[in-house]
Amino acid sequence: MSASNNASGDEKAYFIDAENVAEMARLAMQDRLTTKAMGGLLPEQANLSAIHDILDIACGPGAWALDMAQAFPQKRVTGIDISRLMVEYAQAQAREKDLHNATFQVMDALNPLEFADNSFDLVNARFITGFMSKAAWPLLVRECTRILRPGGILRLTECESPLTNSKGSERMYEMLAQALARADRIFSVDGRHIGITPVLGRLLHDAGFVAIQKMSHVIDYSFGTEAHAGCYQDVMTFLKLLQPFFVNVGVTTQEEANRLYLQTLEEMRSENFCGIFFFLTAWGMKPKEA
Amino acid sequence: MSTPTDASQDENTYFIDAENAAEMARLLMQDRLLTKTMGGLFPQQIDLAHVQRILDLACGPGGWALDVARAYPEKQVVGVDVSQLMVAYANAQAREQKLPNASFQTMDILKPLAFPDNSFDLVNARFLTGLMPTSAWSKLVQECMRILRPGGIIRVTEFEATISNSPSAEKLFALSTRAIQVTGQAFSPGNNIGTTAMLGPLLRNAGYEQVQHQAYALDSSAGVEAHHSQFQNAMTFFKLLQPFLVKLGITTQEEVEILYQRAMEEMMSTTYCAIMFILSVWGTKPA
Repeated sequence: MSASNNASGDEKAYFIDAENVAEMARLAMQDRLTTKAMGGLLPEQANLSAIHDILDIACGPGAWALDMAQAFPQKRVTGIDISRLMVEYAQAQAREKDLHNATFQVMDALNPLEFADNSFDLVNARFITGFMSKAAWPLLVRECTRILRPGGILRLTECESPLTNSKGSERMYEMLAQALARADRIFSVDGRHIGITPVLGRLLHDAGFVAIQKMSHVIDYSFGTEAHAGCYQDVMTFLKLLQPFFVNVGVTTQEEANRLYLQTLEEMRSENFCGIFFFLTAWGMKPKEA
Repeated sequence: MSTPTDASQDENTYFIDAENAAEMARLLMQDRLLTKTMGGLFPQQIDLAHVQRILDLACGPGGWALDVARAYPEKQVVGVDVSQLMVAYANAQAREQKLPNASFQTMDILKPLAFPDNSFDLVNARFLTGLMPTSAWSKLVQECMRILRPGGIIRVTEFEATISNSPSAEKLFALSTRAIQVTGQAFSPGNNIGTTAMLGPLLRNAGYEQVQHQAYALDSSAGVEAHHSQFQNAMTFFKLLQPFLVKLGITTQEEVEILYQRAMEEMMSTTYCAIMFILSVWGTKPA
C-alpha cells in the first residue's frame, strides 16, 4: 500500500509520504515477500477462468499487478494509487516488460472510484489500513460492489502487528497501534492491536457480499530465516518513515522514537531474534442476481 | 491442553484445575473446533506413509488422539496428560469406541518423558502455552528429539490472544495475556503471548530439519459457524480462569466478575467480531 496524501484529508492521517522513493522500494520488496508467503498471487481462488478484468487498489509500485499481468497475459490488470511516483514507476515497468495488459493510474481510493458500474471481475487490496479511516472502509467496500460485475470477487488482505521477542519492536508496534487509534485508522478498542483482521469478513458481509471465506498466512522473519534480511530492510525503512507520524499524533517524542528505532534494529540483528507476522485474506462474491 | 497439578511446581503456574470436569468438556469442544479450523488432523504436507507410532503431548481428554486412532486404524496412538481425570476419560472412550490402537497415560511433560529413545514416528502438541514456562520449551523439544526415531516428525501448534472488536472481551483477553506474562509463560516482552514467534527458531535450534509452518485463523465472529462453540469455550475458560487471575493480584473478584458479564454480553451481540491466529510448525529429526 501507499498512503493517502490527499490535501482534503486530515493532515494527521498521513502515515508515510507516498511520494518517497525509499517507501517505494520498501513496498516493492514487501509485495514480493507477501506474495511468496501467501503461496502465490491468488492462492485461494480455485477457478480463474471467469476473471478477465482485475483492479488492484493502492497498488504502490505495482508489483502484484505486474506479476498478475505477466502470469495471465489474457487478463487485463489495472492498478491505482494516490502516488504519482509509484504509478509512473509501475507504468515504466509495464512498458519495459512489454506487458500491454497492465495499466496504472493515479486515483485516491478514499474518493469515489472513477470506474463504471460492473467493470471488474476481481478487485484486490492489500495492506491499506495505513490510510483507511474506520468510516472509509464501508464506503470503499460499497464502491467495490458497484464496480464489480455480478459474481465478481472482492479480496482484502490485512495484517496485525508483528509478534517478536524484541522489546524495541514490541514497543514500536504498540506505538503504531496507539497512533493509528488516535488517527481513527483502526478498529482496535484499546490500541493493543490494529484490530482490522477480525472485521474484514464483517465489512464484506455488511456490503452484501456472499460466500465469504478467510485464509491466514504468516511470515517468519526470525534470525536465520530466508525472510529475515528482507524484513529487516523493510522494518528499517518503515519505522524510520513512520517517525513523523508517531511524533505528529503525539504517541512519542522524536528522541524516544530515535532511541527505540536503533534498539529495534539492534535486537533484530541479534541471532536470538524471533519475529513473525500474521495476515488474513478475506474474500467474498457480489451476488449474481442483484 | 490441561495444566499440571503437580505440587512440586510453583503454585502460581496453575492456570485452571486440570481435574475439573467443565475444563474437560471445554477441551473436548476445543479439540473439535481446532481440528476443523486446521482442515484436518495433520497438515497435508506431512507424509504419513512411514508414521506408525504417534504421541500426543498434553492430550487432555484425548480428542485429537482418538480421532487419529479412528482415522488410521493401522497406526498406534499414545496420549499423555498430567490429569488423571482426562486420561481415565480418554481410556474409557478408546474402549467404548473400540479403538485398541489408542492408549493414554498420566505423565507430566515438564519432566523427562517416560519413553525409550527412538520410539515414536510423530510427536504432536497443541496449545501447551499456559502450562509451559518459557524455559521448559527447549527441554521438551529436546526430549522429543530423543524419543523420535531418525526421520521422525515433531509438530507443535500454538495460538496468540484473540483479537476482537469488543471492549470488555479485549480487557479480559489482555488480563489473560498479562497472567501468562506474570507466570513467565510469555515470550513477548510487550503485550502479546508471542509463543508463535519462537516456534520456528525453537525447532531449528534444537536441530530439527526441514522446518515448515502453516497459519490458521479461527474466526469466532457472530454469524460464523464457530461463534457458538467459541462462545461456550470462552464462557467456561474465563469462569475457570477467574480465581487464577485474582490470585495473581492482577484483578479483583469484583472487577473480573463485572468484566466477565459484560464480555459475555458483547460476545453474544450480532456485531461481535473476533479472530485468533494459530500457527503449526513441524520439523524432522535428522536421519
